[in-house]
Amino acid sequence: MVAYRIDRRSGVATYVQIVQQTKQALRLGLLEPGDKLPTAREVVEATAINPNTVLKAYRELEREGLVEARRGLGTFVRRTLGAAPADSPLREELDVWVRNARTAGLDREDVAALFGSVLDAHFPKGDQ
Amino acid sequence: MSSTSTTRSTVAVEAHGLTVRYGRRSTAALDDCSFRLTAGRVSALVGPNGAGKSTLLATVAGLLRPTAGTLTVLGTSPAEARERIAYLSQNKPLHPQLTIAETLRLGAELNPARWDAAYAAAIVEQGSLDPGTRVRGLSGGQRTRVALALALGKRPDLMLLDEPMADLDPLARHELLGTLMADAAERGTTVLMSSHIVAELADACDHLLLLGGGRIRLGGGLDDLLLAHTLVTGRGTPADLAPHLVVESRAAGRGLTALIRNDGPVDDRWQAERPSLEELVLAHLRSPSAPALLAPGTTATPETVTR
Amino acid sequence: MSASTLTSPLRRALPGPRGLVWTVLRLHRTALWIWTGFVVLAAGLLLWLYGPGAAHTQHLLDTFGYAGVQEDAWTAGTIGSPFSGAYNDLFYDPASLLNIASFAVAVFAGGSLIARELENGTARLAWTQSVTPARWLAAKLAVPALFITVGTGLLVALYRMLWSAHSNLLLAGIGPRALYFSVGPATVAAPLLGLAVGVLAGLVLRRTLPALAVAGIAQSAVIAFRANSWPFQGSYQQPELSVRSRAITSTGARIPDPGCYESRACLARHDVVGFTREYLPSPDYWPRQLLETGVLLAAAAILVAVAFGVLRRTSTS
Repeated sequence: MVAYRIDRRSGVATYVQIVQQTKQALRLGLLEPGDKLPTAREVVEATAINPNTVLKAYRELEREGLVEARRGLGTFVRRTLGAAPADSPLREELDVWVRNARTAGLDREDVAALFGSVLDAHFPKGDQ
Repeated sequence: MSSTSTTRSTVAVEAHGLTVRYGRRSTAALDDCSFRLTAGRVSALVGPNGAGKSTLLATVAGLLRPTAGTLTVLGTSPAEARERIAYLSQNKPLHPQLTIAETLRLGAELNPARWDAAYAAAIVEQGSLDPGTRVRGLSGGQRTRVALALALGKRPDLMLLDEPMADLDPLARHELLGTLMADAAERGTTVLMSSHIVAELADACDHLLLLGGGRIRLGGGLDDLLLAHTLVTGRGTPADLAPHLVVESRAAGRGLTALIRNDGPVDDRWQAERPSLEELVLAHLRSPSAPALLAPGTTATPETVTR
Repeated sequence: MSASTLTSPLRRALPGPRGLVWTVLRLHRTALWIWTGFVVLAAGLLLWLYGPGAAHTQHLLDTFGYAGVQEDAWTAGTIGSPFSGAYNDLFYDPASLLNIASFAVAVFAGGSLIARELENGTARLAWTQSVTPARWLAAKLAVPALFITVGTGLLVALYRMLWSAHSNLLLAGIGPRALYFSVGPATVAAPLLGLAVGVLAGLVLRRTLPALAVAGIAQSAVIAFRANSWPFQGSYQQPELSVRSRAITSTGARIPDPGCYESRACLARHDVVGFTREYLPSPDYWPRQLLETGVLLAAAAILVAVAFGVLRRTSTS
């Protein structure tokens, strides 16, 4: 079960936060195809947000083909996101790379900046 | 667990020229107030102290008699709709000498047609309250929970709350809103709640009624209202912002910052931003003379059924 | 009906009071217990006066006639004090208690029954359930009215019974007259008027202390008016109440009281072996009682009607 955390000061619209956190859970393998998302009632009871906000987020996820609503049953995950679950070979490679960077004397911010610039080169901004 | 309401009207509350006056000579608490609240909305009723929020809620609850105008609640008069309305007033009155169990029994005895004992008990249980405790000994948050159980136990179609979160700690506020939103999610209950703290309602509500001087100054779905306004910053005078309607403008360095009601796209000379709900409300509170805006779904149609 | 059957959810299957009646019984449980306690206490006093309490004075009457009654009344030294302990004084105590009760009913109705609920908002709590304010007020009136009628009715019946049995033990004068004409249906109507007075005061003033004060003052006026103004039992305006005293000789003949006081020799000389004494029923009793009852109930009805009107003006019922 995913527990959504709503950050009221982030400036990001609440429904977008739910969409992002669901995607994050999909990327990390916390949610897999067939898994059920919490019902709107469960989400709003825990987060005290408007039910329509949750429904809007779920519709967005459905539009992107990530989940599907089955009448009377709930909302279920259809496919996962990214080919990089928590224990994939890609992650291992990245792990090795970061370790090398550290041995080379880079600190946390250097690594983040380097990673960010490579990321930007391959995935231009606004492409999300 | 089915609701006993037969024909569920799509309009929860419709007021037309509603006027409520306390005593003969005093100024009206509600003055020619007109609006419509669609069923299923969770609406924030905001406004400065003395704007008439409590009066409006009590009138919709059937506790006050309108001096003039018509008021339709759930398709009928407030008194006729009594069974389907729940009302939580500001001080959440409960009988101090009753235990929690007896308080819920009171709800069962006074709402024989609609009472859902299991649901009311569940709300009390979520707060891990002992049903044998007397109301006298409860904290503010616990009292609110019991009052909410009593209100939701009758399975209302319309839930009215007057400043429900004043004097509650942050945890109790969160729990109250969570319980309320869960009910709205499950049953589509229409909620109208007042507060003078706008920020705490921003996430829970999808509709806004801004009351000032006894009338609705701003009303409609939150998204619609926010989209209709823009916060602009730039060099110029308010006159340069025509044809947009300037709700409020303030000097910012050599230029100004203004909240405008857009009329078409905003000129590129201005830096434009979407206002937050709080900015929108504050701008209107600071400029009482700004013309009222009611989004299409929120205007009362003149040919309303009379009382 | 005991408190446990009213409140225990486990006994819910039993037929019991429901809805607003249950609510009124539960919310005013303490007041109803106090009322029940008062009725039991007053009934106990009346039964004691009817039975063992009368024995000594009755013996004096049988032996010395009216002189014995006088002697007994004076033993305590303070005639007319409710606390003297003399039978002649104790006899009037239930009447005082009934007056106090009708005062207390008005104070309760003004304060705790109505105004406190309006003041702290619990009345609105009831009105936003599925009951109309009018039904709420009706229950607030009906349940106490039932308790008042049953309780006071019982006490009045006992008092009349006591009067028939032992009024002959009372010193002649204004006392027996006033008591005789005041105890009856009107004694039941007075606290009912007190209930109406209190309810109206509560609805109009909407604050506990002013309401109970005004209700108490108003009901005191009602009690004073009952005691002093025609057609009520004005102490100095009632018809005479005839008393017949006779001495009984050994042959069973009834002769006028020989006036021996407590001289046994004198009684022997007149061959007196006993006495009888009784207050004769007055033909004025029922006309006066019914007229007074009618006036009190009519006043109560008017106040109740006004109360519903006030409620309708302030709320939507």
